[in-house]
Amino acid sequence: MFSTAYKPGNSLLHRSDGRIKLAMLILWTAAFLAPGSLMVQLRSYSGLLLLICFNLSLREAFKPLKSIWPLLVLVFIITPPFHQGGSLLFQLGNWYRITPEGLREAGILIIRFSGITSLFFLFFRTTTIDTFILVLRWYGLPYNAALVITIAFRYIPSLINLYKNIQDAHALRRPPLQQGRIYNPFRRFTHLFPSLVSVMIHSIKSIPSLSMALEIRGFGRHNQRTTYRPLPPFTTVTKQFFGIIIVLSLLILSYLL
Amino acid sequence: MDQKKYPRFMQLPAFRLATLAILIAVTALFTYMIRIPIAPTRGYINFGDVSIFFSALIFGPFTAFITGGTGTALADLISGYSQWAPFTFFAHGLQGLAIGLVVKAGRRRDREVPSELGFFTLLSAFLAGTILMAGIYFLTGGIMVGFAAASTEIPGNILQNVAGVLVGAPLAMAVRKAYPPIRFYRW
Repeated sequence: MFSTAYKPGNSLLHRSDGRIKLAMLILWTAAFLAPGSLMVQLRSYSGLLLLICFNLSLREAFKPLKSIWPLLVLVFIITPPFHQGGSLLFQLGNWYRITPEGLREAGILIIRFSGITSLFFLFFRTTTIDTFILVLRWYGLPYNAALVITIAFRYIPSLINLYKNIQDAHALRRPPLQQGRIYNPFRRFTHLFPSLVSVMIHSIKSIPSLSMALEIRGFGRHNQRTTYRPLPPFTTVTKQFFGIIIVLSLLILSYLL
Repeated sequence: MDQKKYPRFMQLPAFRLATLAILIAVTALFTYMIRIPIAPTRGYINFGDVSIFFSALIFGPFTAFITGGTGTALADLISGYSQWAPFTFFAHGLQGLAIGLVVKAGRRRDREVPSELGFFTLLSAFLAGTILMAGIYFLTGGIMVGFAAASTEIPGNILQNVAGVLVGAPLAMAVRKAYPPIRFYRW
């Protein structure tokens, strides 16, 4: 159901500590967002593609682009007319002109967005959501906030099933001739609205039960909370710092050269 | 808020946390499951704004900020748009906060039903939420893909907010009528 869900594996990134991966994600995203030449962005993106190939597979390297390729095409078409520099390469009418400067700017934006998308894809492909929440807690997210996110994640699949059941139940209440696919937008909305009301009421009615369950488990007491599956001590991941230093050095070198 | 008017269980941390968790899941559901694809950017118009309007009208600005931001960000994570998740959190979170604050300011004493809020209050809430949400998406999209391409998303974002207020307000009225204890759930 979740297209970018964690994919189990035994690669270097799968075994790397989540705290370091999150720090690298932020730093590398900042590097993509920083102003730089087209070649710098291209080198950075090439390095990222290699990282994906070595840790996942060649097919996975271009998977994140599947969902964003229409936007990339739009950027390629719509950006050049706003950056006029150099000789004229192509002209359509009086206003649509493509110059080398326009193509360069479009290339930078395409590589930037592709790189950031691939970075996030790689991170969540090699990091479970539970580990991600533990990492956020290590970085300072309060326990209550982490618990809220964890509970919400647990509820989403059951709410999706509930929504489908409610939709089917409401559809059965319609006359037989109206039980097929509905193409009229207004009628579609009028059939959808009762389902939304039912889902909302059912969800809100479960709030007191959930709060009682939390209280029974000691939520709200002042005892220090423990974690069933904590992150490894930070001293054991010192060796992974070499990896972050190497990648940072390569990023800096790509900007300097 | 007059503490004596509301049941004591509403003030318990467990109850508030449960409310936030359930509403985040509902917002993620509305964003992830109920959506209409739009060309050419492969984006979609979703009903997440319906849930944000609902939360702001029923539960207040703080709840709308947390549930709107976190719910939509979680939906981005699970639907393949994780690169937008950090920006979505701020865009929809501040949208919910703005809507909740405007509704709170416009809510007259002893008139808590959304149908009595008045057209001007709802319009102001819609404008405040739309400007914040579309503005933040335009700025962040401009940095990521250029302002020219980001400007093509503005009509879709406005449309989402229109759907949010047109569906969210009646939804709040319907739920309040069907489940009256919900009037105690605001803080």
